[in-house]
Amino acid sequence: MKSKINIYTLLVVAVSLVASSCTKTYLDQKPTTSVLLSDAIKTEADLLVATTGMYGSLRNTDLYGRTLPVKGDLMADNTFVITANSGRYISFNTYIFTNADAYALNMWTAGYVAINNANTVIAYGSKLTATTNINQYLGEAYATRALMHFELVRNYAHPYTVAPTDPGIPIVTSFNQNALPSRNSIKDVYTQIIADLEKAYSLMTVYRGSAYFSKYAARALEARVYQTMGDWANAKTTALDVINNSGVTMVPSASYVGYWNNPAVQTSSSKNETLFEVASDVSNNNGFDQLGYIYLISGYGDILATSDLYNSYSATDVRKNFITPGTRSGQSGTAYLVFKYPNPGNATDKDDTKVLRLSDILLIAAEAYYNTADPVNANLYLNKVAQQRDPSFAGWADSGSQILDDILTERRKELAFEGSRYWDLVRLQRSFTKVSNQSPVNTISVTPSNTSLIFPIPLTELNANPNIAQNPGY
Amino acid sequence: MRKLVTMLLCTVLAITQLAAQTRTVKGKISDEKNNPLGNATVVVKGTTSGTTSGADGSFSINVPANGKILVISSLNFISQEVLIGNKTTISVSLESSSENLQEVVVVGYGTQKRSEATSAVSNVSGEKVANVPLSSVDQILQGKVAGLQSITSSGQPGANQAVRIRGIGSYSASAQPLYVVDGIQINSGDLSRETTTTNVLAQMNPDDIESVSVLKDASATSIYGARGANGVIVITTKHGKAGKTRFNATAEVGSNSPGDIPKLGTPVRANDWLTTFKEAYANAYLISNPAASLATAQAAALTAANSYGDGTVDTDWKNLLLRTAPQSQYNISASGGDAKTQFFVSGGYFKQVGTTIGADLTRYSSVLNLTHIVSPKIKFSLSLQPTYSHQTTFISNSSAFSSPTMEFYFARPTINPYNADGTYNIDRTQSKNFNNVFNPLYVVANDIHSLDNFSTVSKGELTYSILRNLKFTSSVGMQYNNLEEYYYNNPNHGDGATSNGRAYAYYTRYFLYDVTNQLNYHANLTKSNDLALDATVAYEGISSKGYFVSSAAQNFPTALLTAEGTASVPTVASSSGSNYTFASLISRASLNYKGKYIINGTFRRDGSSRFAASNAYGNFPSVGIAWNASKENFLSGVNFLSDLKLRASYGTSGNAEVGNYAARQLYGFGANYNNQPGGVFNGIGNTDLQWERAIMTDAGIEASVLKNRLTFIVDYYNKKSDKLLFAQPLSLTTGFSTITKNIGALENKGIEITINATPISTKNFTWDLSFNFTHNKNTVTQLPAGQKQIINGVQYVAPGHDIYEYYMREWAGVDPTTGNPLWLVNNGDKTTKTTNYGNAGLAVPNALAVATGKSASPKYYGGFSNTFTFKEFSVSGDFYYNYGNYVRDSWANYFNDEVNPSYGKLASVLNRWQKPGDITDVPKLIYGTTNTSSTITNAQSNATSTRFLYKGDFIRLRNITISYNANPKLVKNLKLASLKFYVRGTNLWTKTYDPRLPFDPEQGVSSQSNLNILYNKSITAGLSVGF
Repeated sequence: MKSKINIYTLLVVAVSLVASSCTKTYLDQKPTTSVLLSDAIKTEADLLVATTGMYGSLRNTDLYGRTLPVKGDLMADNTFVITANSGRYISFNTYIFTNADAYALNMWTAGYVAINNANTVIAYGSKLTATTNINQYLGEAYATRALMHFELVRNYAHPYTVAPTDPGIPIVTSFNQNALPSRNSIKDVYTQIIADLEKAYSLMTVYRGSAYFSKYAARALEARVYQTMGDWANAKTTALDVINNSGVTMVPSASYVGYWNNPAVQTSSSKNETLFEVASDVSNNNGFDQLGYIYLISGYGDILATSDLYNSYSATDVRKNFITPGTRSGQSGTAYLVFKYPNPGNATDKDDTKVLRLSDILLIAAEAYYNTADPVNANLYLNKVAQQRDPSFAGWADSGSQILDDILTERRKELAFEGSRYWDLVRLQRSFTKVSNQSPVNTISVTPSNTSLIFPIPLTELNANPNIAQNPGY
Repeated sequence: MRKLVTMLLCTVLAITQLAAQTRTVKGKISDEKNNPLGNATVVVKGTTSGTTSGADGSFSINVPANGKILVISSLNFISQEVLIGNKTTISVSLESSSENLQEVVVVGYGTQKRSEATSAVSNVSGEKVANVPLSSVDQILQGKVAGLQSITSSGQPGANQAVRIRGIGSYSASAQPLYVVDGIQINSGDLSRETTTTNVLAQMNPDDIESVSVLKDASATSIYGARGANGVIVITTKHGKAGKTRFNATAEVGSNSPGDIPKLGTPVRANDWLTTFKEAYANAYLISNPAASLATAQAAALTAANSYGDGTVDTDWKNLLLRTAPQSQYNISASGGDAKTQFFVSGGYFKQVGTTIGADLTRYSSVLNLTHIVSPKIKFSLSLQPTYSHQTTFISNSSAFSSPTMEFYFARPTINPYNADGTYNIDRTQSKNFNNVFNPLYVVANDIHSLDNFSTVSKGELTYSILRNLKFTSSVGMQYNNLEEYYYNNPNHGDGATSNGRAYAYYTRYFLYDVTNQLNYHANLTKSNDLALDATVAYEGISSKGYFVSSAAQNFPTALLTAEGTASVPTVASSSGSNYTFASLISRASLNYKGKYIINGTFRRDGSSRFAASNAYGNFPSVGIAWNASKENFLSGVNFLSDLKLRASYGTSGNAEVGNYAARQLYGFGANYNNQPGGVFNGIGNTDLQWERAIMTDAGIEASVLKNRLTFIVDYYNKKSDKLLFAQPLSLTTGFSTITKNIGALENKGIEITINATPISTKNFTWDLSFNFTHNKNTVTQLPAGQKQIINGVQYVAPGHDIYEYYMREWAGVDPTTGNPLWLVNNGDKTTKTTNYGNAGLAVPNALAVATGKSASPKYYGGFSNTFTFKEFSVSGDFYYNYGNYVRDSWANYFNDEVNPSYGKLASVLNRWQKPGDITDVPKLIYGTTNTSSTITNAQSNATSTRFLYKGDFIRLRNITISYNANPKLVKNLKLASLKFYVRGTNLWTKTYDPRLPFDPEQGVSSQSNLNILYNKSITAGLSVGF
């Protein structure tokens, strides 16, 4: 009997020992869909994955996924939210913002997430031995970082053209979890943006299609930045560089509707119109929150075009096809339905969000010529767009400040529903009438002094970061 | 080998020899009132010989030659030992022990007599949770245990239940208790991914439960270490008893009807809808066109209203979406065995059809528990609890326009759900139709939203008595949960219409094993047996692996087929996993001097994969003392006092529910773009992360007087939780919104009182009552440095405040002159009112949100029950009460004041302001969101404020049962062991205390309405037969 005790006692001890000796590996459970950051980016292929992920963050609903292109029309005179709505973008439609505004919070958050992703590419990519591709990816990350700083500074700070020394936004070029930054001046932010874009321009040599930044997409963004700053000499130089050297061309008017209806991205063999767009595809898209669904009755159908915008197109203007007069339940009178993004329900591909297009750059060139006292070229470049879209149009031929008004009109028509109109009005400090509802008519008279023209710094940021200052009026 | 054969031979010989020398003892067992006591266990002490008594209390047992003492025991009675001597008949009367100090309580890794326990533990016996028309035991526990708050937020059959023990002890980690089933620390809660709400515990048939122990203080929970801080609920399933095989069969059928909606919260019908619509439209018209006449405005309003309908269509959505639905359960079990092998087997069927269309649960459950005594030293047992259930839900109650509970409120009564030919109306083109909502009847009839859930909890256990006082137990427990979810949206109408039909299939598997090796030692340290030592050491390893496969596809060729494989475009194909492990050393030692003075110490050292290697281990000690004062000589003369025990405990437990990979800085994938794989730095991690810690102090008195006619237990506790995981907000410019850190502290202080009494006890009539009361005060004591408060939506977290205090603007009523809404400005003074909700920069000051001093958590809660037994009949009623919290209508903005005029609206709209002088709290109706950049109107009257905060006080009759227990004579004549018939009403009556309340006040832990399925009111009748 005694030996039996010993056998069992040994068993107990043995079981306990075996159990404890494997504790260390037992307690090391690794995640299945993530790796440690420090192990993540070791090769050129890894860097490509990180670069791709960075672009993915631009598709956020509150960046190019929907809010940026919506805001630029809705807060201007192009669109409004109907009464029977789903509750989206009410603050944009009413000009009533609190410091807790969800769009202001989400855009700020998503913008800096994208910046952090770009910084990750830059930080880890810079440690790798440079190759053509690695330089290309780094260039794309610099351009993306510039793009996000640009969007944030114009959404959350006064226009550069008004007060360049006012608070801008914090410039973030590296990850620091303890950072509590204060706002850099608007001027400093633009200096950083230009520096990043110059670096991007020099690093990039590969064209990977319009879903990615390329040398001339970065240049095009630079042209837009200079336009926003009112630096017309540089705006002209950079715009012309794009127009003359990018290889991107406009499509004939007969093909223009098809260009929008086809959600495919541009490749090196078909560099039509687009310089840079944020792509959505059938498995990577925002679902119900796709841009098109905010306009389409098959989705939320919350936003209609203003009659004023519709009436600005001549009957022969191919762009008139993107608006169809019809009816919308919960909205009396004619409803101007928007069909520029028809593919949310497309089972093979989804609409992309155009960020930079050649026609925009042509119009920047026209505006730059106008501002550098060259009305002939201003009209020339203006008509390159106007007459391409409306072959029956005799062309603009005005003089003096009317040229600028013509350019703005053409920009409004060309870039409608692409989120551009509002920024033209803001940077030029124009007063305008925002339609909040067409029937019954309800309008807001917006002057440059309206504090709702810039977003509040989100309350969440203010609560977490004592060094950040709020915008006036919030 | 030869040795073994010899040994076996010896054993066989010994057994035969013993059998040769047995004799038979007969007898009868009764209770204090001389009623026969069936199903009591009779064992010969020190042997394996045992039996159970019959319905008439009689038994017959073979007593081996060495048998000297009979041990007679029965659930809820005090065990007795009787010297056999030369007697051949022995009659015993057992004394009732229900809820008194004699019962055995389950503590972690063992059991203790209640009189010797130093911990705060509440027991609920199996019979109190059996045959209740609720799907899971956690729902049934509501109101039954002091200190335990069990909150329902959905009437979905199989819904998850929130349980909080001694308040809310965490801000960002889970506050749910740990569930231990037959010694296995199970994965609990909602493991599904698409289903609106499910519950692991709903896989368990409450009928199979022997007892539930709720462990509350340090002396009880510290032994569960890093997982004990939220309290522990230990569930023990039924096991077999030696003796004649006993069957028990129960059939219960009945019906569920939807819970009450107060009148003010009921959606209006067509005429009221149109009237208020027109009034609102005309009001808006006059604001936009101040020069217009009232008649013009009304004409315009009529035109607008006519586009919605003229009142001829008047749909009663309540009637179409809610229903009275059947409820049934059938359980059969068998229990028995001989002295060496005992078994319990059961099978159960439970079906609950929800009171909202598209919701139900069907459960098939079974249990096999087997124990075999190999030799006096070796015993093994096996338990298997396979269960399959099928649950139907509909899309998340509050996130889609196809959800019936959402359409209950959102759908206009002016929409006809049917076409003239009786088919469903799915037209989305006009305001008369479903232009901005979906027809929920069609969606429920044509969509699929189902969960097939297979699970088992199983365990193998071997016990070896190394020495008489030293026992080794080794067990392997396993929990397997297999969830298959299928979600299909038809291509014609609803969420699948835009993608021409879509389907999602989710496969979720959790596999957990819990291995424990345990040594128990008992020793009498003095010759006089005055001082006893009980010691336990154990080693436990727990490993859980989650595995998730997801797929989705859209564009279906036909509405006839619903399988994902028929869709043409696959959109999701992914798999992933999520694992955790714990490795722990456990010990407990208890010293007991004459049963008077007991000191109990526990210590657990836990390691977990959830933390970085440097922080993987934590230590959790506790100490508890108890003094059985009634055993002191100086109290022996106090006759009315049956028992008096004082106890106190102090110690720490942890909370490791932080997410499996929260301590790692992670780079994740799936950030795909342009059909290419993408990765991003998306997990900020925190390698310094540790478990949360709860330092618990408890002092309790347990007393029993007048021969246990009155017992009470009073506990005072103070649970200080620190190292709380706080998502410390980061500057969003970092790319992250928060980092989880062990900062912050809070405390829960409270008093628990449990009283059980039998005011009347005569031969024919008994009145039993029980009452429990809990007062808990939660106070946040520390936040991350530099943060004065954390405002999380409407939740205000700040030192000195309750963790669920509301933060919002304060409603100041409606201006009787203008009908405009008013709020308190709250910029220092508490009197100035404003019509400006929150638009800074206007001439009129804007209202500021404030901490309201009102909390979502109740100040007091508990239950009380009465049971009256007259001869064979009994009536019992259980009430649950909840006092001192506030509930918020988080959907108010959609249904009030015509700001969203195209949706349904609540009857409270009928109280609107109409003309100067009207005194009401519903402002003037104005259609749509009217421009307010220059004028102040009530554009934001519907926004979050105390206007939509209501008193959450209520009393609910959880259960009323009338039952007939056939008398033993009748039972015997029918050749049965027992016979019981009952009729039970569940949730039949509720009393609320806020006349403005638009919904039932039981709305989850955060007390915020979420358009969930209403609670069930059930009436069931059951028959239970033992034979």
